[in-house]
Amino acid sequence: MLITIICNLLGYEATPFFVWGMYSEKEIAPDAYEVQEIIINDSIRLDNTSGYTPSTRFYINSPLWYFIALKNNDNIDPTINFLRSKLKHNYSFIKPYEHVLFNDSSRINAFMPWYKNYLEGIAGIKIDHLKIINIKVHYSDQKIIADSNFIIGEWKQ
Amino acid sequence: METIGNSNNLFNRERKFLCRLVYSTVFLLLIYDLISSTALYQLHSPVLIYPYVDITYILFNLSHAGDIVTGSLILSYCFSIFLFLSCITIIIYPDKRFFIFSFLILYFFYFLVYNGYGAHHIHSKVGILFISVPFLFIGNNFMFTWEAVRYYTLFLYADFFFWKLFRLSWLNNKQGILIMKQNLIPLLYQHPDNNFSNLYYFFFNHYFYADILYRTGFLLEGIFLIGFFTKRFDKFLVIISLLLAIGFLFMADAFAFELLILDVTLIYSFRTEELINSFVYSSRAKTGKALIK
Repeated sequence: MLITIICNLLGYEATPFFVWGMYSEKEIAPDAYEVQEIIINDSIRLDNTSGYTPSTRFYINSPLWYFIALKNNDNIDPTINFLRSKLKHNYSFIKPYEHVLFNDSSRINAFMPWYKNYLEGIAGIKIDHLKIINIKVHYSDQKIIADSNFIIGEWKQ
Repeated sequence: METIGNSNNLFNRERKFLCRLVYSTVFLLLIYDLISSTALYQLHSPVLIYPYVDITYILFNLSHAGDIVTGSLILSYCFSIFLFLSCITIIIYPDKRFFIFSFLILYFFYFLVYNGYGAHHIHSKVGILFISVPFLFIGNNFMFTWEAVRYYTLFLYADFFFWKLFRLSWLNNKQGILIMKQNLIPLLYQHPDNNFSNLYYFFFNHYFYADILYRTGFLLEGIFLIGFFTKRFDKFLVIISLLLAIGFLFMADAFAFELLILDVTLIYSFRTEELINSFVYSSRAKTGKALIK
């Protein structure tokens, strides 16, 4: 507990000595909310919001959100940007280990084939074509309205 | 004639009972992971990693251990089997601390893989790690570490409270509704006729009530501070922790029920006189003054 308290005072997390600060950051209204649709074999929409256990949904959604964050950051791991801004010239000590510590192009390119395998496992369907659509939506008058969408990832046999 | 000065024999009965109770629950949680397709061999060699700035994950990635085990179907199958077996053997032989040590190592590895490759450092599984620690000990040391885990349980909820308090998020007018929208809009987009849709839309249109919910949760977390001064309200705190888990699920679609395993330290905590007695016994045993009945 002592290590956890020290970690908390420093605001630094070292698993398993967690900082229990979830939902304590002031929330700011985003310009738009993003929703993902997972289309299997051009006809089946995988239900990534209910229908599976919370743990399954975590493994369907969380890696996908990080993949989208990588794509939106020009295929550079956002943690690299964060550490560069914090460490400045001291980042040179981490640079040689970048490919081991963070997601490089080979890991990013391997995401869609892995995602297809994982979804095959949980859905029990052979997937020939997988499409991930990112949709920008907003809430208005008891409805969620789609504003725009684009394909963020695709895998074809 | 029975010698009771040996502190290692103290609380053996309680330890065995609690060990079987805790690991039977852990076994059910492992089954839940299996049903959820998140056992190690079911992850199909995940590729994206997320160490962030956590030294434990950084060292884990540097070791390549995660890639080696998850990358091999045989190794990941063996790992999952050993994890289940270690849990079962603990239930059968709660006195054999080697199995508890083995389980702890294996589960910590699973914990790092689950979060590291899941691209988000989820906290709820950590309850299983912390509740395992007291069973590495026997006698007085078991009881003292059990009590320490009780204090850790109180601390983590109090920590939730303090972070919100010092970051002033409880003063943010739309904090509750923004959390709800961020986490629930995907569900409402795909399932506009969900059972809770009308209720969620009510909160979306009357954000004042969502903020009341958020602030109620914040105050409930603060109530755990009372546990540092008295054990009288421990059962009440168990009910609050359950309400908070339901609140996390309702407001943020976050599954925090695995953390409730730590509640067993609030349900079964040792009385102050037992703590004092055991301390006296162990002191006497150390000085050779064993008590003889």
